[in-house]
Amino acid sequence: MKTIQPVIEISNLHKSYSHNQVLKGINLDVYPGQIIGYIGPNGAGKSTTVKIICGLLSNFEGEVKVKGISVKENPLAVKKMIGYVPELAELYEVLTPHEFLSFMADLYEIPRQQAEERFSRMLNAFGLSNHLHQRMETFSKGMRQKVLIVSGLMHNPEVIILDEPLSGLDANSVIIVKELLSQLAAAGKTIFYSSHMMDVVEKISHRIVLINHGVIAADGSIEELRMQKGNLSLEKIFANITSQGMHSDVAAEIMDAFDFSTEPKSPA
Amino acid sequence: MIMNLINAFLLSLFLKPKWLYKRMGVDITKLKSILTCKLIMDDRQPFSFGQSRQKAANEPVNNTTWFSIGIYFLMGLLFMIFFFFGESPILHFTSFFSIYLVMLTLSLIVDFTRVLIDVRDNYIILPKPVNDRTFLISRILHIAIHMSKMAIPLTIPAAIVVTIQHGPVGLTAFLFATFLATAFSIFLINATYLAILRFSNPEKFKSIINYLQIGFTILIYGGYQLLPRLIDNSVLEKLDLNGLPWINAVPSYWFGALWQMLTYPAFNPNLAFGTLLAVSMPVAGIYLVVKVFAPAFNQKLALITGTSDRVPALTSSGKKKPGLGDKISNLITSPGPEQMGFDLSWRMMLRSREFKMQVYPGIGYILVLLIVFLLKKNNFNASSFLINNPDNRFGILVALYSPALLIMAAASQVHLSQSWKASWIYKMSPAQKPGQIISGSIKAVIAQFMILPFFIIGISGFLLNGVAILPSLVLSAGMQTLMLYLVSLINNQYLPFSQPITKSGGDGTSVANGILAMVIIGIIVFIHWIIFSTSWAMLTLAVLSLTITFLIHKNIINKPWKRIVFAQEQA
Repeated sequence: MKTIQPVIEISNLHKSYSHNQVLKGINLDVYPGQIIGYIGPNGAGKSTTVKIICGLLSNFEGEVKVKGISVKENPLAVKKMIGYVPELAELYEVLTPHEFLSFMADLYEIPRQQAEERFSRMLNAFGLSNHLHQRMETFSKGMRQKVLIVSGLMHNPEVIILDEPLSGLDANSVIIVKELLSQLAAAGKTIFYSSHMMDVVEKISHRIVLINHGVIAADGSIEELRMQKGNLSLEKIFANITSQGMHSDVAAEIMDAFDFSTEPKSPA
Repeated sequence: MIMNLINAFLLSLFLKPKWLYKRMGVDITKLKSILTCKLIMDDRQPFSFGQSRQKAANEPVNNTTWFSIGIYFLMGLLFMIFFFFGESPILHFTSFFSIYLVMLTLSLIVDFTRVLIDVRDNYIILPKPVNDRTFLISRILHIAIHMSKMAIPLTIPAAIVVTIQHGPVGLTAFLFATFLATAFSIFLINATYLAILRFSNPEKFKSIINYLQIGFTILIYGGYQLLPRLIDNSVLEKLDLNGLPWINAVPSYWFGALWQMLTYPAFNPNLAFGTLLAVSMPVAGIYLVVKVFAPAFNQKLALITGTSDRVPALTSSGKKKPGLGDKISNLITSPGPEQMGFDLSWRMMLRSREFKMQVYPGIGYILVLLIVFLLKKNNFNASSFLINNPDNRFGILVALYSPALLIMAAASQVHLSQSWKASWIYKMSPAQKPGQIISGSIKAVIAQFMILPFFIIGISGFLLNGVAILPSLVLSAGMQTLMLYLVSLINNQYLPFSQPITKSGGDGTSVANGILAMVIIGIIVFIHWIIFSTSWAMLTLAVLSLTITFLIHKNIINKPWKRIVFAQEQA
């Protein structure tokens, strides 16, 4: 039997900004149909890794391949296979969803008619069909996020990279997106999910990769992580690895700021 | 996607050399798509210097292209005046190119980050399969189209005058010189940007751009007021630019010299050197931009709007030294809500860009008005402000009441803010009387916009006239304080910086308010004029105005919560 080829292969990845080394040797193979939860504290190198896989940063050391194609040598071929949903709802909000998505379709070389058919159906499913020709200036963060998700999925990519995709979405939309991600994975797509929301990552990821100070600090399914790090929630495991249990000290310090001796007693 | 007619025309024009782009490895379909998208967006961005258009926060902006072309065309019409200053063509062209370079450079400095180099492209276009050449060419063509939309309407009126005055040869030379001047301004913009970025951080950078916008609005207003008055100035008629030794330090002279050399060839060392510079400097400048500046440029620009995770902490920890504002607020406000209103307004007025954009040009307008007024008097000197000559009465009154417009503009803006939603903090506060907060903010306006001007006016008045100026000074100060409180009374249901900047506060209404303010000032100045030589009448009126001011102050400071209006968030 042929072994399954990894979709994303990262080997010995180093990256530094001027003097600051952000990634210090990342090695990671991601297989088709997997949902990877990519977590880590701020500044650990999460978004740098994402940018490198998407071909946005080219001056790094090491090798990054998507479906066997090197990101360094052929970034365009890699970009075609990737759907990227950035955080912060970055889009041109003076355009309407129809204009914005038609423009995205041009860049992915999807014929206009096919694109229009696809994104209309997707937006319809998200409940945005009445807003197709309205400028996005007035849209809520959740509505913008839905447009971005559509723009990331429209060209039917092999690899989907999401950066905090649930921010601003209401509870029902969160359920829809989570379900959508599982179905995409079941259809053989690879999903790279970067987030701070531990409970979501814990539930949807097949495999969790935790990076801290530019190296992988933990890697495995939630069950495997629990076996290694004690039978805890992902939130606790994350805290143990990245902060060495300082949280209760910090909370105590905040409480100490109230000088209880001089504070007037509140009526009981 | 439907595009504006002008944008569509310019786009098809700039896409004509398809073979050239193809040879460079550009994907024409994607190039066209990116540019179409960018141009549609341009048409919906507020105009760079449109104060009133910026106000329409809730209404979508449309047709900016037509609006800006109209504005630049009007400016172009105004620039025709340069071709009627005296007899010397070199003077005509040098002054035209001066204003042309200033206009183009200032507008582009503002537009560069706002419109032309959009950092969101990094998230939206770059992750898509678009090659670097296509992206680079799309930016260059976008800048070129954007510049055409300014340069063409600015030069058309001048081109017509040049054709009439100097025929087709003159026109061709003019167009060639204009082209080089435009290239030179690109170099100037890049150099300015790199210089600013080198010495400041992104936040300061945005403030500098803000001041440039303010400077630009004053320049347009000043040009409009002053240029027609310079036309029959005898000094300009006799000026021989070619004979001035250091004339080649002025870049606009080069392009004038080039035009002269091409149209009426004659030898003169300055002229020859200027012509040489006119050709070589833009070429060298563009070379520098492409080879040296561009790589550093993109990197630096990413910093401007990029959100950095690591904000460097201020090194000095602990207590901050009390500033001027703190000292004044300790003096003139009572502790608690009033002081809070003062401190908040003092800082917001100094830091909020939109407040400065609305109010600061007023300072420039006042200066321009004063200059216009002084230009009218042929032999003007300090004695024009001596009180004993009845002819000087009007001039003295203009000087005394010059801060009035500024004060009223500040008072009518102080309740507006783009971050009006932060006003939830008032609702949470346990202040008994919100009127105290409003009173504090009025006092902050007095401190920032009245104390200094009146100090300057008072000192110079005393030096020139001694005690005789005192009644007029007291009356004008009293009257202007009253005006400030009257404007505040109109808006006294709003807490400082708690209302969104909407259409209702701008455009027609603001013009109407401005006219109303002028009428009120006019009436007051007229009354002052009548009783100008009767000191007791002036002092009585001053006491009266201060009494009314005090009553308004009492009314405002006692305002209860139920009379305060908060903005409602739209669903």
